This record gives sequence, C-alpha cells and structure tokens, in this order.
Amino acid sequence: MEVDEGARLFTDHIDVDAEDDLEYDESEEVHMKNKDPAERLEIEAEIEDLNRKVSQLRNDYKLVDRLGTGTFSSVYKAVDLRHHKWDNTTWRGHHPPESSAHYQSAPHPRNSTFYVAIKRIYVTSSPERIRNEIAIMKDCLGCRHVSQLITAFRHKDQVVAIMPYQRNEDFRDFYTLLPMDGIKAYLRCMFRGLRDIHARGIIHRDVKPANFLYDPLSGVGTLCDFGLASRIETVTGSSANCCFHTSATARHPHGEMKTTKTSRSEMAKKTQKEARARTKGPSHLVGYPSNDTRPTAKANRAGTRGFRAPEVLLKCPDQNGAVDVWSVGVIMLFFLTRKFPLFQSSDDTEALMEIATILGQKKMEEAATLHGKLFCTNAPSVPIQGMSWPEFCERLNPSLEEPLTPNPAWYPHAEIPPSKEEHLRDLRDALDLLEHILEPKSVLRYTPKQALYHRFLREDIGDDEFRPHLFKGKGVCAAFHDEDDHGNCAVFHPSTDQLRLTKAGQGIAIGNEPCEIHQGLV
Amino acid sequence: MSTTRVALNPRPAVTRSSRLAVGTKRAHSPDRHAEQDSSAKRRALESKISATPRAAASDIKSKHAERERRDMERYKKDIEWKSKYTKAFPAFSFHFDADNLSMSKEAINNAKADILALKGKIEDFFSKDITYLISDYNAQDAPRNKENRTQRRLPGSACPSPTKTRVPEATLYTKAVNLEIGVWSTSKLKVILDRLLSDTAEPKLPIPERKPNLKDLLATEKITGSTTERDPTQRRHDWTYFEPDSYYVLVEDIHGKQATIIAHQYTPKKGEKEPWPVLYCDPRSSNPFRPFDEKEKKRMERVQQEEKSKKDKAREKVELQRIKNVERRVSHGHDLRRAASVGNLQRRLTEEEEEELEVVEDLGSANASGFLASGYVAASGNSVSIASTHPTTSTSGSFVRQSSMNSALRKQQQHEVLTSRKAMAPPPVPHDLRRTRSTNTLRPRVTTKLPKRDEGAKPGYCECCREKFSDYKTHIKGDRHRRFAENEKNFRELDSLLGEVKRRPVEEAWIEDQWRSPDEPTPEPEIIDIQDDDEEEEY
Ligand SMILES: Nc1ncnc2c1ncn2[C@@H]1O[C@H](COP(=O)(O)OP(=O)(O)OP(=O)(O)O)[C@@H](O)[C@H]1O
Ligand SMILES: [Mg+2]
Ligand SMILES: [Zn+2]
Ligand SMILES: [Zn+2]
Ligand SMILES: [Zn+2]
Repeated sequence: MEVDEGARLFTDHIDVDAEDDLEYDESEEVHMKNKDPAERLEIEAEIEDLNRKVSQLRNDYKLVDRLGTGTFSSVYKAVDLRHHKWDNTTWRGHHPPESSAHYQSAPHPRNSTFYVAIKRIYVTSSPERIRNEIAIMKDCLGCRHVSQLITAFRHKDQVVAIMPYQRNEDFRDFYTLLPMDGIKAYLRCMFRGLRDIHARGIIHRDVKPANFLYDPLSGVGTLCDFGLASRIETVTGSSANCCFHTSATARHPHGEMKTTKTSRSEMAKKTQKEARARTKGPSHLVGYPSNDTRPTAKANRAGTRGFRAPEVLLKCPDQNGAVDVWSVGVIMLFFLTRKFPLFQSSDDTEALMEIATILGQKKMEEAATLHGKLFCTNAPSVPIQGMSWPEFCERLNPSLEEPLTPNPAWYPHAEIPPSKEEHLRDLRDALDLLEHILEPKSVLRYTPKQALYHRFLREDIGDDEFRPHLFKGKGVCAAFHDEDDHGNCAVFHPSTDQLRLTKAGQGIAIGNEPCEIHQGLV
Repeated sequence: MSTTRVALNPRPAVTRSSRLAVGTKRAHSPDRHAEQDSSAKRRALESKISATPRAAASDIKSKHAERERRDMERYKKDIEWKSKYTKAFPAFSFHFDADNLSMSKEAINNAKADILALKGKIEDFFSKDITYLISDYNAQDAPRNKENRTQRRLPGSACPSPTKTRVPEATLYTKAVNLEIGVWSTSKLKVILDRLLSDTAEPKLPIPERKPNLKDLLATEKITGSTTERDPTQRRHDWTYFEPDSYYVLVEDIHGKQATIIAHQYTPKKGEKEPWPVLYCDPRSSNPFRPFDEKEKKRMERVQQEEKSKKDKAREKVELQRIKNVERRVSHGHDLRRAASVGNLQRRLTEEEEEELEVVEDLGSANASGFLASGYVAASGNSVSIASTHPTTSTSGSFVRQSSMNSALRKQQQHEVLTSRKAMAPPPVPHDLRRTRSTNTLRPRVTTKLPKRDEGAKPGYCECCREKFSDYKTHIKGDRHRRFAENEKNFRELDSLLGEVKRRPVEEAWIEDQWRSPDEPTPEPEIIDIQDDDEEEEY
C-alpha cells in the first residue's frame, strides 16, 4: 500500500528532466578517480575482501568507495542495486514535508541511484556489543536526524549494517565559516535527534563532530554511530544512594535534586567542609588510604576525550541524556571560539582539571557534591571562582561580535551578512543557551527539548508538532497500539477490531497526528 | 605523579558515621516537627514498656542517647530483616503474572536480575509450587485496569511465547489466592529487593559512657578515612600523603564508602612548563591551554595563510554566484552560453585548488547528491522527490519553504562545494580525540588502533577471545578466533535480532501489512486511555 502511495507521490512531484539525468548518471568509477592509486588499490582490495566474506552483499549492493575508517569499523559507500524491490517505509518513517526530518521520509525516485552506507564492524567486537548497537538503532527507527537502520546481516563473525548514505563534510572545513543561521540549523538537527533518542531511553554517549554527518549545503545533519550508545537505567541498590539527584524520569529527563535532608546529606556537608579546610592547608597533610579495600566506583565512562561531561569524569553511576547535551555544548564552543579541538586532555584527571581551570573550584565542588564526590585541588591554575562560558568565548575569539560573511552556496543561502544588531541579538541568545547546555550540574542542564524551545533555536512552530512519538507513547492513536512481553507489536482498527502486526518503525504518530496506519481512522 | 590503584573488594564495609552527626537532623516545617515529636513520644513510650531504664531519663543528653539507641535498634532490625530474607530467598520461587504488571519491562528485568542475584528462582509457568506470584492485578478495579490491554494476543507472533499457554488476567490471581500462594505487587517486590540490596542505613553509635571507645574510633577511621575527630596535623601510617609543598588533585567518595577515585600529585620539573593544565586563553594559540610561543606563532601564520586562501575562494564563489544569478535572469533554463562561462570560472577555481588540496573527493556524490528536475536537493545525498532540505520558516501561520532555487543553479553550487572539499580519506582522528570503550576502570584499556592503512601489524584487543593481539589480521585467522567465529551458539541472540531487521520485499510487506481479524475471539476492543497517568512528559 505504502509503495503505491510512494509511487504516486513520486509521479506527482517529479517531471523528469532527461538532460539532468544524463548529465549526472552514475558510473561508479568516478568515485575513486581522484584518489591516490595506492589508496584506491587498497580500497578495492577491501571491497573485494568484504564481498567474498559476506556473500549476501553482492546481490543487492555494489560497493563503490570507502567513506571512513573508524576505530571500530570501516564504512563503505554502495549502490542499493534493487532499491525498489524492497519495502522502504519502515526505515523511512513518515515525517511530514514541514518537518526538518522530511528528507528521511521522502521516497526515492526510480530513475536515480540510491546510495547506502555499509558499516563493516570489526570482527574483534563481541557479538553482544554488536547486538547492542543494532538493537539501539532498531529502537531509533523514526527518530529525526538519526541514521536509520535499513537492515543488517551476518556471516560468521562478520556483521554489516546498512544505512542510507548521508552527504556530509568534514567539520574542520566549515566550523569557522558557518554563520549563525548555519549554527542554528546544525544545533536544531542535533537536538531533535537527541530529543527523540532520549525519549526512547537511549543515550548516544559519543556525540562529537565525526559522529554528526552535517551537510552545510542543505543545513541538514544526521546523528550516526551508536557503537557506544546505552540505555538509561534506573539505578537501584547501593549505587542509588551515592548521588544527591534522582534517576531520569519522564518529567525530569535529567533527574531531580534530592531535597530531603538525611543523615547522609548532613554528613556529606560536613565532610565537604572539612575537605575544603584541608585543601587550604599544607599538602603533606592531605592523603588517602594506601591499601584501599573499599569497592571501586563503577560508572559508564564510554565516550571520547574532550567531550565527556563532568558527571562522567566524576563517575556518576546514574547518568542520563544530560551527558549528550554537554557534548553538544562542547561542539557549540568550537563554533563560537572558532577553535577545534579545545580540550587536549589525555585522561579523565586532566579533563576534569581542564574544566576546573575554566569553571573554578567552587563550581566543580558543587558539581562533584551532586554525585556524592569530593573535589579537592590546590593546583595554582584553578581559581576559586572561574569564568563563565560566554567570557571564555569572548576571550578566545575577539571577533565574536563580527557577523561572518555567508557562503551563498550554504544553507540558508544568504548573500549578505546579517545586520550587526541582528548578529548581536543572535550572539546574546547563543551565549545564553551555551550556559544552559554547558551547565556543570547535570540536573540543571537543559534538556534537548528546552534547548529547542530556547530563544536561540525556537521556531514559530514548536518542536512538539514534529516529534515522533513512541509506538506505545503519547500519540493520539496510542490507545490502539499494543505490545506484548516479547516486544511483538500490533495496532488495532478503531472500529472493526481488526489488527495489524507491525514492524519496528511502523505505527509512529507524529505531533498531534495519528500514526501512518491510523491516518483517517481516528 | 602517583595515581592510586586499589584492589577491588566486593563487600562494602559498613560505615559507622561519627556520633557528631546525631541530632543535627531538623525538620523543616512546624507540622513535621510536631509529627516527629509525637512519634518520638510514642516510641519513647513503647521503649519504656520494653523496660529500658535509660528511656525514662529526661535531660537532653539522655534524649540524645535515646535517639541513638533507637537508631541502633532500627539498624539492628534492618540487619536482622535482611539476614532473614537473604537466607530465605534461595527457597523462594517467583512467577510473574505477565498480564498484570504495571512496571516497565526494563524495571521487571532488573527485578528478575535482582531475584537471581539473591539466588531466588523464577518460574516461567504458574504452578502450585511457586512461593510468590508477582502481579498488579487489583481485585477492586479489575475491569478498568489498563494493564489488561495486553491480554489481547497477537496472532502470528514470532516468539513461541508462553503467552499462548498462559492463563489470562484475573485467573492467575484467583488461583494464587485459592492455593494460598502469596501475591506481591511489583512495587512491593521492588521495595523488598531494593531494601535487601541497599546498604543498611548508617547506624548511630551509642554514646560510649564518657570516654570514647578507642577501638571503635580507630575502626571507624580505618574504614571511612574520615578525618573527623582527628587532629588534622596527625598523619596516619596506613595512608599515603602528598609531598610537602606539592600540588595535587584528589577526588573521593563523599560518603567514604568507595575507594579513592582520583589521587594525583603533580611533580613540576625545573625549566619545564607546569604539569597541570593552565588556561592561557590566548586567541592566537590553537588551544586555550597553550601559551602563545614560537611554535604556536608558526602555526598561526600557517593557518592564517590557509584561511586567507579559503576566504579568497569563498569570495570567488560569491562572485561566481553573482554571475550565475545575472545569467539566470538573462536567460532562463539551460543555456549554453551560461554553461560555458560558468564552466570557465569553475575550471579556474578547480585548477587553483588542485595545487594545495587533494581535490574532488568523488564526483559520484555530486550525482548522488540528487538534483532532481523538481529542483530539490536531497539533504541526505540521495535524491528525493519532495522538498526536504530546509527547516521550515513560517509566515503568518502557513508553511513557506525557503527552497526556491533553480535546480541547475543548485547543481552548480553543489559542484563547487565538492571541488573545494578535501579528499575523502578518513579524517585523521587526532590522537587526543580517541575514545575508549571501557565502562569501568578495571577493564583493560581498549586501545584498538585497528586497520590504519600501511601500518603493518595492528595490535588491539579481541572482545570475542578476550585477549590482546599484536596483529589484527593474524589474530582473526587464528584457531581460537576461528573457533569462536564458527560457533553459531555465540551469535544466537544477535541472530534473533537480525531476524527482526530483515529487509522485506515489497510483496511480502504488502501481505504482512494487512488488517486481519484476530484469529481467536477477543473481547470488545477496549479503548483505554493510555494517558491516564497524568504525568507530563518533558522529553
Ligand atoms: N550513513 C552514512 N553516510 C555517510 N557517511 C557515513 C555514514 N555512516 C558513517 N559514515 C562515515 O563513516 C565514519 C565512521 O562511521 P561510524 O562513526 O559509524 O563508525 P565507527 O567505526 O564507530 O567510528 P569511530 O570509531 O571513528 O568513531 C563516519 O565518521 C562517517 O564519516
Ligand atoms: Mg564514529
Ligand atoms: Zn550522579
Ligand atoms: Zn496509530
Ligand atoms: Zn578473537
């Protein structure tokens, strides 16, 4: 049914221009034409090797190039040979034309080549880790600005995942040149992606420019690489007593401060005071147990250096989406300071100290206390009161107040820079948002939703109108959606009591509209 | 530089907090205060009955003592309760009434894991032999219970689910009651599990008669590392101290229960720059933590040069754009004249760039970027048939797309961008941006610098074989790894997931995605308001 619809849409909107087609008809050879011959040979050998190892690939995909060699995988570009043979609706979703994520949903015309990205996961990854990545990508079907899983398969230890190809440019090539409107587009896509995955209980954990495929030309970005992603868990047992904040809830996605006084919190206050006094004293009176037999603090610290939030560095056992928002804050710093990378730490200790030299001892102490930790240092470069993030940006980038000349080829295709007033207004808003997303206390850090409704990013039509609900979430037709203990899903016909079993990615209501199946039925 | 490494002790030491903490608890509101007082009175009375001579005392000191004694009692009770339950747990078997569970699947799984951790059993099938039925079935409001929705069975479910054989809804509850099997709600189960698995609340040490018990105090300090009550100028033999006049960073668990998190001493070397991060914030440096020295100066000059040529190019692009705009105005559509002039400019640009940049990563993506006659660029790099590239702006309430550019023009622009793009060799990952996958500090650090071209041996860590290797290619061909790879058992769970993400041919999808009658009589389709929990979502 959807296929017919797609075909109809396709003929409605396209009047085929033969000239264009000819001129841009694809021949794979051009892909690698401009690479150095040694590299080309190597890529060809890799492609050959992959085709041999995973024979299922050959019938349906033609590998044409290598897109990236990561730490945990190699990613190739390929032609989806029989694109229209497949039902592509489950991974395309149904984002309406007004949604910035419509590019994910729009059907592909039959007369042009569809490209996919094939992620070849290194075989030294454990099956469980691979399962986690694929399961999370499956749960992220329908999320906006998130790399969608088309399919995945395995031969022996070799697993490949297929996603739509996203055109993108190297962050280094545009971050100093992107004017405010481009930065806004970048951040809106990013926060929409995060909003949707966090609502599904998923933290990305590795938000950084290399994992956000941004195309400055169209102003569209896509979050990829769920290799380190995890699920937000409600912590129970002894770990729950460690922090002075609650776990994430629907109402408080970044947790909430525990306000009731307990003997524990009173004790903590006292310990904190003593520690502060000790830090002021001589260093040879500050120590720690030599043969520490106490259990080690356990916390997920997966992520990339320079992008880890304070709570990750402080080993908070109860982390949530706030860790991703911090990483976005770091990216925003790159834009505003026009420097990348900013943090050069080689380990968590140094990372913490780098942040401390900016924020100062007091804010670090407060952030540490929130997670039941003491932070003491007498390093001379750590001030008691640090500076604010806006101050940091101003000091690093003296031309912050000068609007950039836009590149008309890039989104939003403006030809003249904005007026100074306009720029200053944007800048003020940007710096205000920055303070909220680089808030060291995770509970107070803005959620993606708050960021999207902040003056800097807000749009006339609120983001709620475009958010994809969970299958069994708060969509208008959710009452007719059902899931059993094994994750089998079905939707019910509101009047006939008929049902339809659904696949992941189907039955996702958007904004105030019913899901694609219940369109016109409720 | 010294960083502590500590042995893992699976059993957390029970911490006894200082007696000074006692009595510092104060209720906020007068109401609560009153409540506390009255309950205190009641408890005082109870303890009188239980004949503790000290409870009758009326001076402040003994009131404190009384409170401490109660705390101690509570503590003992808690310990007692825990030990009782912990002992009993291995004899318990639970069955989860899957039709009547109001907790999230994840929470249920956590609870199941906790039960297993406590050596309890979980039975997949209900029988008279189970000890407890876990069910949120509520006899009173049964018909409206929103959880009953799940009773509708999904025909053709992929899983050979026990759902099929399960006795639906109230029946299990009723059966349990008839069999005199205990029924716990999920919330009760959670409370019990949490209590069993949490640390026992800190006990308050009874005030020792006048002189503090030295042995107790020492024990407390030994465990907690708290300097409370201790002369801060005294050092202890079993601690490591930072050197005199040294600089350090120390991160500790505020509750003193977990091992030291960071203990790092900086040892400055003469003539070298400070070993701790220093914030220079010099806009001329590449990085806020670097002073602007000779090296940075050279770097800056190089970058400025690059920036300048980048800017020149950008300016040229703007110029090109202007020309094109004029041409568009002059001649609409596909015009040879325009193509020629644009082509010239284009060539010039490209030639220049070729000198310093590796040019044109792939022409293919220029094609792939999908310019359609309809005039829309696919943001994805794949063509689409509908406008999709621009976030909407709205004018007086109606959607207006910003995309009004002529497709040929866009194509041209696209081409330009691509030509100025660096070669597509993977962006070099700067060393300081490498990520680690470890989830706790004890795991071997995974520093897989895997397939980097032309590097010869690629060392790393194999998660399948749980061993380090010195060369990737050799390792994955090795016996041990091949054995793992050939064993289907290792991939069972992964395969079941892969089955769920199979790509469906159109025809198959067509057949599957049809409305159908439930293959068994189901009750009236209940329309239950799923939003009955009024909680506002902030995601
Ligand atoms: N859908 C896609 N379209 C285009 N390019 C892609 C796509 N997915 C991945 N890439 C490219 O491949 C690179 C590596 O992909 P990904 O981040 O998923 O793998 P990874 O091995 O986990 O990465 P790393 O270890 O370097 O972080 C990306 O940085 C990007 O350049
Ligand atoms: Mg990556
Ligand atoms: Zn915490
Ligand atoms: Zn629906
Ligand atoms: Zn191996």
